[in-house]
Amino acid sequence: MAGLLVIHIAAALAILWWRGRVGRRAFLVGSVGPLAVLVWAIFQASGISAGTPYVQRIGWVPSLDLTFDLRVDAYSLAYLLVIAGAGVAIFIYAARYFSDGSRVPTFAATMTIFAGAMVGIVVSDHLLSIFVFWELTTITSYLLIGYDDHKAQARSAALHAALITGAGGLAMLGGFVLLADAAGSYLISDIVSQPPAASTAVTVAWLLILLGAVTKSAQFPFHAWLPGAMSAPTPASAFLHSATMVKAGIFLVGRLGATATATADWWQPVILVVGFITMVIGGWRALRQTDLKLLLAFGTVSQLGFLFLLIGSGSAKLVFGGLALLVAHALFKAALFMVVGTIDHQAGTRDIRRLSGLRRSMPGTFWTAVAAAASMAAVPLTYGFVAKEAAFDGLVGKETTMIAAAAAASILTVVYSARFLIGAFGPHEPGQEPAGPEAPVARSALLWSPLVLAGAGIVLGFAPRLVLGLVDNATVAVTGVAAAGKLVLWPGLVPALGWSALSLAVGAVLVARPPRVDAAVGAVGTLADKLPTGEGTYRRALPALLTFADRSSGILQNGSLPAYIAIIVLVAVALPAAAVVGDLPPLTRPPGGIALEWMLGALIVGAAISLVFVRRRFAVVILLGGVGYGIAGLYAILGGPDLSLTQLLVETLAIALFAFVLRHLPGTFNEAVTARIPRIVVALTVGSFVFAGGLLANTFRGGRAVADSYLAQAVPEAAGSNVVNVILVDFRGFDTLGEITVLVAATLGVAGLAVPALRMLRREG
Amino acid sequence: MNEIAFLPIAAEILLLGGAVLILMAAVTLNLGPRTWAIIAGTTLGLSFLVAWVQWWRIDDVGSQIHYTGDFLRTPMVVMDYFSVFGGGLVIAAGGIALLGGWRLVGSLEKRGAEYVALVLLAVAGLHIMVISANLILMFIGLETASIALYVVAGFTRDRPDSDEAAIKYFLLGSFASALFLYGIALTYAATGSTSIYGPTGIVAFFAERAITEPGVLLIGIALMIVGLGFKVSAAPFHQWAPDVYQGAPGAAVPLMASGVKIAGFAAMARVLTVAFDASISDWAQVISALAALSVVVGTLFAIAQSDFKRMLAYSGVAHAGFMLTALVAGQSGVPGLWFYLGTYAFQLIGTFIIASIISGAAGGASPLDSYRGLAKRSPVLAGALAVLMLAMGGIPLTAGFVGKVGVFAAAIDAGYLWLAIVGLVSAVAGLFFYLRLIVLAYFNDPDPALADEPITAPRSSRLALAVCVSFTFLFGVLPWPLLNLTSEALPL
Repeated sequence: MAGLLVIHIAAALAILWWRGRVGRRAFLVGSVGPLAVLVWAIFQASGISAGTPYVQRIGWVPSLDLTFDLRVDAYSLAYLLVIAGAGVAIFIYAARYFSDGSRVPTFAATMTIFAGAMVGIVVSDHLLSIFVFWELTTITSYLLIGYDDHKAQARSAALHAALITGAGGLAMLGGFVLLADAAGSYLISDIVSQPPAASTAVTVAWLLILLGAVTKSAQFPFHAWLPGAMSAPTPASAFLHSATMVKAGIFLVGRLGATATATADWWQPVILVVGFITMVIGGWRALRQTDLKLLLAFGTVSQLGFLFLLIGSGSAKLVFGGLALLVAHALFKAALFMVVGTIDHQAGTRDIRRLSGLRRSMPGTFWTAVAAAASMAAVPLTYGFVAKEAAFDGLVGKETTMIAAAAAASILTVVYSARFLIGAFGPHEPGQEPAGPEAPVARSALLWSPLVLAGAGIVLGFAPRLVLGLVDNATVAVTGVAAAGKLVLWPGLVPALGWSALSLAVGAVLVARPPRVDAAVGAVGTLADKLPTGEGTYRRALPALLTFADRSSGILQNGSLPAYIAIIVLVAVALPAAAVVGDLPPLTRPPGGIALEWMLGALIVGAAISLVFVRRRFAVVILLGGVGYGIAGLYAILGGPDLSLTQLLVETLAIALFAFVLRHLPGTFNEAVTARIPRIVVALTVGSFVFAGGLLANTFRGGRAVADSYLAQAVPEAAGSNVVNVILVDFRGFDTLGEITVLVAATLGVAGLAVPALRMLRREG
Repeated sequence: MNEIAFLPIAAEILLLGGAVLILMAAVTLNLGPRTWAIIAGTTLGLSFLVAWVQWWRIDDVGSQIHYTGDFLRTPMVVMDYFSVFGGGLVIAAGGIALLGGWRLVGSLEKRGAEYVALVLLAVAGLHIMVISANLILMFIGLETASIALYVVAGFTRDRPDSDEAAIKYFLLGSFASALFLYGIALTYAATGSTSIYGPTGIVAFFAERAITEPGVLLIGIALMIVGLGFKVSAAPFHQWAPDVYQGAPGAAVPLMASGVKIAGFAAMARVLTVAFDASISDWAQVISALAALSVVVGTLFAIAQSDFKRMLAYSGVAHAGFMLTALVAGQSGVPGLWFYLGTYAFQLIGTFIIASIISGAAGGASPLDSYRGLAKRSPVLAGALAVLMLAMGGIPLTAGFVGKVGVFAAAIDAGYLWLAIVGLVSAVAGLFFYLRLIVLAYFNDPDPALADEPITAPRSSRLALAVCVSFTFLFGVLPWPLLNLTSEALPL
């Protein structure tokens, strides 16, 4: 199984290796991937359908619980067949669709990797490897959609799709982590067999996972990226939006739906509501498109909504109908996208208003489109009809509003299917420049690929037994119960048939009266356009986020050094203050000092206070020196003559240096003293904090072990009676060496500053 | 004094010796950059080799604490898997960063020797921070590295913003150092020791008695967190980073950004998870608050930047937040922290090498617009940039993904689920600015004025970049060798 993924990578690498010579045949090389999957799936089908999943485990990062677990059960098998089947047809189609170009091989390689990633999603049993493949499809789809990179619209569409699905994917990752944390395993098979107990964390997990699925499968309110992504070359659209990318979300909700329903009672209603809204909005908007591809895109949104609610519901009957429809959708939607590609390829446009006379000049493509559109509209005798019957059958007996909504969406489907056919193959609109094929379609993959898929949609309509086993076993695999559903061309006189017939009839009536439909659509359409859509939210949210980030960084990151220092020191005060608040130990009164100490203290405090109110720079330096000398005096009194000496030297040097610099600066500060108030507050806060800290520390003398042993050992061990010297050069000699190193670095810095300055002075004379 | 074991401090000795040799070679023998390169390369290479030897030595005889005057029992440095791994990482990062920015050395002429010597001094200082078993020694390491880097930040003085960067870095850094030092003093007041290990050390102190009134100790811990938080540019102590990264000579930033982060986090891990393991319930809350603030602030501000280096500075704040996220788990978060740190350091170095190729080794500003259409001007550089950006964004199959999984798993295991979720959401938003670079490089046309201008990168930069990119990719696909190493690299 893992070999299949390797084949995809190898094919992509082979394409890149020979990209100079391979040209558009690259897609044939790439088709080896889906072909291998198809062959494998067919050979494994009987065993897996019998209920024995194919399991493979490869250790990747065992210590982080990242193993590569593959598990193919009947549910995965259904997706594999769909992905690979549509994949082979589309890759072969693409080999004829593109003309040789320097970037075509890269595109083909990306699409091959994408196909491999998609296979990876459906065969992974480990949540994190699902996420890995999930994001891989996001990145590769970004490259596929943005292929026309000179078009601004393609770029922004690609970014839109990547941001929405990428963000959804990361949210999903969060959900996975929470879910695995609650369930105690990252393996889906474990989670499904032993669901986690309901809890807040599990609820959040399901929400996040749902978010990932909703964004990937273009569900309301995140559906807007899908129509935008139509700027991709048509084969990519056909692959991404019929059988693969958008099915990933549906795959996921289907896989976890039953478990989610069991642990969260809101899951099913949410899935149903989201699905229905998506279904109706998509269908509605499809009616108003003039671009064939966009029409299909909104149709896809609508169909995805239906699949989402059926497969995600976790109830056997609905899942059964959903899976039957999933196969139908892949067949007809891939075929229709390819038809659009062929039309675009031959006629140079896909605008409904301009296309004209294609029916006669492209009969093969026409009949392909008829077959596929009929299946899409669920016209009897097609597999689309059979599948939709199964879906309706599942809905019958649920809420009437649900089935009515499904019927409404079906009516819309009938109408836009007809609109597709008439628009593509009917006459052009008056007043528009007609466009027809510039060359007849060769009997090539441009014709055959869609024809095979559309034909399969008809054949399966007459022989639904071919997929019954697959769909049935897949349903059992995820819900645990057999749906006892039927896939038959003539279901008998059951309620489901009534709903199908009603949808078709109303749809047919609407199709027959296009002007009125257009008017009604137009009227309601303007109303619907005013509703907030995900598109609008995305377009507003992105700049809003940027503006917010811009403003807040402008305020907090204004480049002002005093502001930075204030933030740092205030937090430095607040953090410890918050830590000790509440259990502040009693502050003991420090021992009273001698008179000289008090005098020096008064000098220091007095100098510091007057410092604040002085405006002459030189006076500031003098007062600063006063503080320093005062402290030096304190050291001398308190028994630290060496410290005192050091302090005196440093102060003197500092004043001298200041005096040199001050010659080049104005005599007074420009700002008023009142402008210093914020700084004074900050300084007072920090000062009192340090003071309090000192008092506190004084009351806590944990032990004097180090100090005592230094004193005791100074003479016997180091033969020195000056304990400070002994510590500096002996006991802690390496510290001193380190300090000297610091000095070396500082000296290099000073030299770097001073030498060029001196040179400059000398040059000036 | 008793026996002195030289193996644990062999790297320092080599590095200091190398720095002095280079200065002598330049000043007295008048030898040029080629000689400096040989000396620096040999020094760093040997130091890295020392790390391997130390690792084997620990395999043989077990972890050791050194510079223990028997009567004082205040160990200075410790040689355990933690310090060896961290030390090796610092040296590797320093070496790659120096290699990637070698072009700057050439352009500095005579002063290049000073620059190389300062870099070696800085690496030595960072190394001391990683191996020190004593808070005072840790502070000395911090100062050695910091002062060397302050000077480096202002090394190209023909640009005013370089001066501004240096003076800002210096003033703010001094404040942070002072706070750190005050924290050490208060810790000493509370525990009677500045040593972490040993019979009179902080660990022993906590083992012997329960602290009933933790006030002073908590203030001390908090101040040390502030000081180190500044060095690793965690919010709200991050304001210097964008100004300094943008102002400092481009080729010097990689070391400043990555090396200091490695050493700062190593020091933080040693201090918090070993020395103050007993009060984890107190400091873990502070760390979790800083972590959350860092990821949110870093991500949010990074979005607003129009300069690549400033963006990287803010994204670095967010990454610091992710690494703090691992730290809330105490010792069990250390492997996650190491993996993240080890891989992120090389992503960061690689990215800054690209930035200094685009905007010059001595250059400052690096507007995002100059990355427009990079894929057309230099496909290789654009490819490297894409891999690094994806890694920083945490996209699977790059080392960044495995790193994020590690830190989030650590936080969740420690019961900080909310922190993991804040981190995840920020990672989501963060993708925006990483992907934006890829979009600019691949899907935009270059500025017509620049389109025909070839991008020249010296061989040294290309080599360093190749190392960084292949690390990032390799450890993304096959992370387990590094994971095994990090799971062993626990502090004593």
